[in-house]
Amino acid sequence: MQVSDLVFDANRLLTVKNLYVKYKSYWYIYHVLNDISINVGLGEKIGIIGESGAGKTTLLKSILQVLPINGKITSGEIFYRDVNLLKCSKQILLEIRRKRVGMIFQDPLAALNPVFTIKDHLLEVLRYANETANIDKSDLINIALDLLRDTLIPDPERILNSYPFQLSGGMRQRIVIAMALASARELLLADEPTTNLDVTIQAQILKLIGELVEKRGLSMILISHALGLIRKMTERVYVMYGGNIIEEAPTFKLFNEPLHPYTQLLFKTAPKILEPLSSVELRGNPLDYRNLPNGCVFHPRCPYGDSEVCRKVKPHQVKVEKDRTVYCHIYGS
Amino acid sequence: MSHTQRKLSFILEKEKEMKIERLRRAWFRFKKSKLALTGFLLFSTLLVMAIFAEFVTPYPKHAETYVDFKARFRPPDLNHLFGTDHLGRDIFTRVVFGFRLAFLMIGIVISIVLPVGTVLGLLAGYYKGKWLDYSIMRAADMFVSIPPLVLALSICAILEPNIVNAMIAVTLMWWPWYTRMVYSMTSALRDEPYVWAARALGVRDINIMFREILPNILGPILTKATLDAAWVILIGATISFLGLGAQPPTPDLGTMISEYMVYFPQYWWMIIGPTLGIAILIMSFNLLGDGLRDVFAGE
Repeated sequence: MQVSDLVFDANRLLTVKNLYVKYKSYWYIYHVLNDISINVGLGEKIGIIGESGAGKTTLLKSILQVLPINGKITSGEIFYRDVNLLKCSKQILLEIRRKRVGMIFQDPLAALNPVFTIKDHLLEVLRYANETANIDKSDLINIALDLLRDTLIPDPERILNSYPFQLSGGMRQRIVIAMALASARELLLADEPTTNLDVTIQAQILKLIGELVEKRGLSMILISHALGLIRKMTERVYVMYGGNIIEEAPTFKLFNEPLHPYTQLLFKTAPKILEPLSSVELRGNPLDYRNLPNGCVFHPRCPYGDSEVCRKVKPHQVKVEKDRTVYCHIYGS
Repeated sequence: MSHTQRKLSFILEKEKEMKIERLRRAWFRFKKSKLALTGFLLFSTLLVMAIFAEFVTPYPKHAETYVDFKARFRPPDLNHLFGTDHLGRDIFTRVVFGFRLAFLMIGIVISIVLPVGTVLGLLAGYYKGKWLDYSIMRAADMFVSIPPLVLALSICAILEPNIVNAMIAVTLMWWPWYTRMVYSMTSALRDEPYVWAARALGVRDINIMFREILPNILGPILTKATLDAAWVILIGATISFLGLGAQPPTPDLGTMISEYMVYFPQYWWMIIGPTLGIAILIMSFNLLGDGLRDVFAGE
């Protein structure tokens, strides 16, 4: 079985529709993703922003279906091209994981198995990615060397035979990027690729990812807390809060004029060079995923959230412009 | 030779060098401890003696059915290192043949228990919370809940008492301990980011278990196997001692002790030989296990 390359709409490489994900602990059920719908076109670069614990990583994990064992997709649909990932056969899912979609992980040390060398890691990925092509080991090593050179690793011959713990953080992150690129022919999922790195390395790595994605013509979903970076590297942005998408807009429009109160507050936290540091205070407590508030998820913390509608009614999708939507009662009716 | 080819051979050579280097380091850590080295030497000597028992011992015929009443109850001297028993058989010879049986028992029990326990533990740990986990672990709990010696004795009593059934009994009481150990380590590792990273890259579950998780927990498993070998000897000897294992003319250490115990105060040397044999065997395994633990802990 193979995923069809032909029959699909170029605007819908990946489509997530009304996705609900729950985590179960011994006592409680955590409603982590509630009614998420996103869509990624061919060659499109998407950003997802939102505070820690908004469900961004869970979203990426559920796309590849590598949720932890207590996590469960309760309803919704995930389409990759014309394949429903939640209902397709195991073989097709493996093929998509191996050859089409690559993922860069948050913590590069934890994402590498400590008992294997970098060569073992890369060769395993490459072997899967080139399953049918019948390539022998020396060719695979050459491809691995090329990948390492692409990710600007100095002295790749030496690095191949090192263990993960012998490398620095930036180096490891590049290895993880190389692994992701090896299996990403179409879509790259980058989950906070620079969280653990210092600022100069961050800039390097991001530039690198940007260039490589451009060079290979990949689509990308980028999760990051660095707003400047999202602005620079993506074309469209989804804003998440409490397991909901609350705003969707082309990047430049969102940054020029954020609509949702949460997005406005989020952008206020970004320090500006010419102004003194301002702090943003929200009222209320962080979200409790065990019992989400009725109505709008953000209303207990929202500066405009005291009205009857906000407390009782879940906001519907409001199309403000042709290409931008927001989920807020302020813009409704 | 082209440039790329040279690079390639450089990488492959480096890999080989590293493998040798790792072995060298492991040996270095092992030999740092004098006790571990002693254990290793003792173990290999005993093993060689057991394998070539026919050639090492002075009276190989004495291990089988053999009676020589003229030579009975001789105290230890140069001809009979541990003296002779009530049928005139050389006890030293019989102890060396007893080593052979003990090693056989360890070999068979460990080589059944180790793979079976490990595979079951990996499956249960990886599919934690699923029905596979519950069925495997509850079965293990059932075996663990019965006192080990009682379990082994009752199995031996139901089956015919001989050495093979003793091995079956020890195997049945032993596997849950491996399963439980591997289970706990696997269920801790299965949520490590590199495991779900492997899943995201399209590695099959079975490969994740055996190629990602297993290499990470191999050290403790092997160390436990060496340390357990001593226990297997003890349990095997206990079963034989109680008359449910190997039957008399067979030169099994436990059987010999129970046979010779009757003559204890007067002909004291008879019981010394097999007891010393068990003690040395167990000591060599324990020292070896300690050394192996150091080797794996250093990695």
